[in-house]
Amino acid sequence: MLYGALSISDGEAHAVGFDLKNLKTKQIPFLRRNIGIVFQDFQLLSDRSVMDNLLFVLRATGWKSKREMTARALEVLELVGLKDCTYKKPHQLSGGEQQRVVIARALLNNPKLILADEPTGNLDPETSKDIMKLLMAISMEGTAVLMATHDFTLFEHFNGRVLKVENNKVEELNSIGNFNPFEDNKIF
Amino acid sequence: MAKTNQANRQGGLQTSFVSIVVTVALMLTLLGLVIAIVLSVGTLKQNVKEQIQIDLFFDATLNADDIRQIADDIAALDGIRRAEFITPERAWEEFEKVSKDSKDSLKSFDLSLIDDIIPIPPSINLSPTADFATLEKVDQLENDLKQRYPQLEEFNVSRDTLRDVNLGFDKLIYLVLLIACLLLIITFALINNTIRLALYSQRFIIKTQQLVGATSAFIRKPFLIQAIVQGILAAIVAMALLFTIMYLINNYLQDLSSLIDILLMLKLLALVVLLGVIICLLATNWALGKYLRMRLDDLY
Repeated sequence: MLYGALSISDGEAHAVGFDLKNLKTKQIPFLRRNIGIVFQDFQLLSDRSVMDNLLFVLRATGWKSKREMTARALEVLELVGLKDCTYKKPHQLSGGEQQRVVIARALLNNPKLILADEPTGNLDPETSKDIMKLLMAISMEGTAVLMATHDFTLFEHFNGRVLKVENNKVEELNSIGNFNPFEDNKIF
Repeated sequence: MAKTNQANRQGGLQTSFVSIVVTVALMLTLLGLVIAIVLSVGTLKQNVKEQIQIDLFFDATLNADDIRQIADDIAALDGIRRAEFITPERAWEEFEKVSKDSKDSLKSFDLSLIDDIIPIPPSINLSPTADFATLEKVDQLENDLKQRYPQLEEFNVSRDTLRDVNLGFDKLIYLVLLIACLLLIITFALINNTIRLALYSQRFIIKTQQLVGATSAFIRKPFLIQAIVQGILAAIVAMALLFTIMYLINNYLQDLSSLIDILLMLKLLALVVLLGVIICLLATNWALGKYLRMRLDDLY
């Protein structure tokens, strides 16, 4: 619903400056350029390299200069710690690395919001922790991160607003953890 | 291993590109042949209609020069392809020739002339243009000529032949047109299916572009350009096949070669190119629309 895949049946909804109730089909691509989406199953294009995956997104979202596109792609890859993997194909990367590429892809257009749909669902606990640290770091840098998960231990360890969706109701829970990715933490 | 996978994947995509071109080319060739038959039947109908002959006989008050003048006047009328004055001598020659060629009853007649007087009066032999070779128009022509020339005694035309030519060819043309329409629908269905299957392998690329904020036009553009290329390539192959078939007809089936009108065939080839591009474009656009409307979960 937040990225325009479903329409609003009742009430009002706003996301990143767009009125979702009156959202026109033509506006959806521009709404999505303000939202970075991180999928559980990565959704990377398996027939091209990491760099080409990122350049492809930049081209699709209206970037023209090859030099600027390459610079931006390298910038986000550095942010997620994968600057040395530009030439690799997704299948040559581990699950955690692929999810980092997906996060890098989500960051390309400086989104106001990152939607993460079970980003750690396919990852082992150690890699999950790294991905969570990365998402926490992004949120602390000023980008809102909305993450869906079934893993209760995650939000016990990482602080933030916790909303529980159950029986068609949204309920706010208190986060127990007080995690700061920029400090040495003792949670794990 | 990775290289092998990539090579397989690229090989697969190339195969689908080639198979689309081949499918479209074969269907266009078949369609082109049926359209060529429709056009040839039209030419054949015109040829046969232009062979229709009408004989005009006048009463004895007109002499040969008068009739010759009337023939010239009739030739200038609208809807008359040719009008020829036939002298009694020429008519007699024709009659003798027909009698000699005939194997039956005429042979028993004695064709020697009494006092060298030819019993056939001078006449006019005319052929209407193909447009005027219909029962209604020939009847109208008869009335017009009888009003204009009261001395006109006989207006001889085989009305049965005229009726058969018009009805028979119309039925044939409708039948071939029906087949052409059916073939067009089948062609479109097959090409649509082939293209949709080929795009199926690209559905995640389409969806990923959509999810990262690419506009519909941006996503469609490369696929539509590819469809145009496929349509043109298929039309070139189809044209080559059609040319080969026409060449064979021209060289080995002389009787049919007269039915091939070069201008009509060039129009046919232009139609084949146009159909190839339009069918590929429409099918690609529909398939793309389908994958663009589908939700991510439905793609699996």
